[in-house]
Amino acid sequence: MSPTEELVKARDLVKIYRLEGVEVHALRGVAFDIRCGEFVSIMGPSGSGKSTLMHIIGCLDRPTSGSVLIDGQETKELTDNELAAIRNKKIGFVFQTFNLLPRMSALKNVELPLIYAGFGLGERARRAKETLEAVGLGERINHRPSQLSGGQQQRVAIARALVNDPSLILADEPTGNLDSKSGAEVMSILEGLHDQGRTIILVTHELYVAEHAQRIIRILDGEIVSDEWVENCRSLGRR
Amino acid sequence: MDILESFRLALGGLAANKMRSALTMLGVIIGVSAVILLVSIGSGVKADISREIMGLGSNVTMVLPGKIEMHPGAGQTGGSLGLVNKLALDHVEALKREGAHIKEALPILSSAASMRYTNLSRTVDVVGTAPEYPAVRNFPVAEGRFFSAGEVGGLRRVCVLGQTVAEDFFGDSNPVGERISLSDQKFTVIGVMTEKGGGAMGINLDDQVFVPVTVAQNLFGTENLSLIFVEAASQADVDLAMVEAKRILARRLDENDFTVLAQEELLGILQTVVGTLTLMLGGIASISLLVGGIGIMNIMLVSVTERTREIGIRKAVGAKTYDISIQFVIEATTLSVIGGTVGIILGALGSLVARSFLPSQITAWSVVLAFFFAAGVGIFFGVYPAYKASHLDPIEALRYE
Ligand SMILES: Nc1ncnc2c1ncn2[C@@H]1O[C@H](COP(=O)(O)OP(=O)(O)O)[C@@H](O)[C@H]1O
Ligand SMILES: [Mg+2]
Repeated sequence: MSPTEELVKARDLVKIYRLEGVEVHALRGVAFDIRCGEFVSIMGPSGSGKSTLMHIIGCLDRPTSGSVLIDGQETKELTDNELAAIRNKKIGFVFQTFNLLPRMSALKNVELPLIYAGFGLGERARRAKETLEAVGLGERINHRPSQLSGGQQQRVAIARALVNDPSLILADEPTGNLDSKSGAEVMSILEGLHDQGRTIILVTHELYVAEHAQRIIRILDGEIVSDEWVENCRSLGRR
Repeated sequence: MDILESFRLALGGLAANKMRSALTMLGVIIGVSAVILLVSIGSGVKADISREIMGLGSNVTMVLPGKIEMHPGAGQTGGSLGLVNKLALDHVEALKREGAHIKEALPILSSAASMRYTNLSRTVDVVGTAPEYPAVRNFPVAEGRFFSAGEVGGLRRVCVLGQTVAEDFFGDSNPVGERISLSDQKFTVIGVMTEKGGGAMGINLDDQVFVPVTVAQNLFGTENLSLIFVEAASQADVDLAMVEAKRILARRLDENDFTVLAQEELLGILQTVVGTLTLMLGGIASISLLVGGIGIMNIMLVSVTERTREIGIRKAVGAKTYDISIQFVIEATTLSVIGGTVGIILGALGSLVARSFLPSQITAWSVVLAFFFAAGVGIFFGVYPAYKASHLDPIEALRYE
């Protein structure tokens, strides 16, 4: 795959929620392309539709109209199970609230995508362990989420997103529930992933977080208001 | 995801809530063990009745008072057993005298009476009959002798004790020659029967006291016989003997006042009754199994709700509908299969315990049926919660608090 090829193509995405007869227009025609290897931030105030957009790109949800192509594949016509397969193999999702299974060790949590990818017991444990080591949690693989700090839990979640070697990492306010030190750790991991050539879309409403990316898309009330390159910010030595 | 992994996940889910899993299983355990126990008692009673009636001897038929009707095909029995009772000793004499194919006719008049010896006293079955009883019933005397025709004619108060009665009142000592009282009348013990073993329908043949039928008529203040055994000259003559018995009695009685029954007929009637009863008991027990199944469904639905977030997370990382539903179906099935297995073991133990005071016989079909019914109930009641779980919207599931 050449680095200039489009990994995500979003076309006229509209999402309307209907609540007791009231229509909420969460997205009003959002369109953009994201190429392989890009690190993009999506910014906007609370309620502007960032999470909705991420869920649609991440194949967790379907748009009311419009289409998303992942890796050149149109997702509109796919069945729920085919979308599940895309989530499993091509996309790694990092949530603001970590979304780890509380009764399972870090290792078991990271193994989860591998279970559904059909890997055997030994291969799963080996890959999950490797990935946890890569995010600096090699010593904590048998800890449960409740025995880990917020930053550590988010790193487990990142390991889980990475373990199946997806082409696209989606992070929805990954630092939103973290103190600034843990947040910085998480951001440096994401930057490291970008340096390894992964494509990352990061949602945040804080500029200093957004500026880790090369490109910032701003949305407001479900519409893109700006889409700019911030190459200069990164070269100012923020990294 | 392979099936082994599904089992691992499901067992993990059950282990996480051990108390709840155990209580849910209890419903199935009770249901299955009730089915096994009740059906085994029903089958045991049925087998006992067969043995009992077959034990009459193949050339013996019975005349019962009243009309017992078999509705062909309907599998039902009805009638007025014992309501109108006009069988008398005259009829026994007539059968003996006029039946060319009838070798012997034996009157039976039985009822309960209180028996007393020294300071011991309890209720026994008193059977008034004729001297031919041991020969016709193939039930010989062990000690002493049976009463004679003279003693019947002379209304002599003599009696022959069944094994159990003899043991209960006299222990190891010989009762022959002792005086006992039945309903406050004095009797001389002249013999003790051999041991025959327990019978069906609550009749223990060893727990009886035999007296001359004439004496029994006095004792109970009735002329009416409980039944008449008719022995044919040979097995080939049984049908002829039955026809003769009917003809002889019809001349003296209304046709609604007696019934001549072949062994097979009697067996058929009783087995139908017991079979119906067994089915009814099994049915009632099955309802409790069904309730156990609903318990499984209930707990699975609770579990789905509780684990909504977990389901959302699993779906977010790529679980397909099948992956989620199989996990819940296996959980439900595991509950019911383990419950079913434990239930079978408990039911079998219960039936062994019951054997000491009731006839019981574990039948393979009840075990197989209860097991597959339990497993089926688990699958059936697991499918809906599993369907519900697997079709949760991932985003809504992740939002669930
Ligand atoms: N499931 C839903 N049902 C109804 N309205 C929703 C739902 N999800 C989001 N919304 C609405 O859509 C809008 C965008 O929400 P969201 O994408 O979560 O915004 P952000 O992530 O930028 O804070 C908000 O007005 C929100 O209330
Ligand atoms: Mg959001």
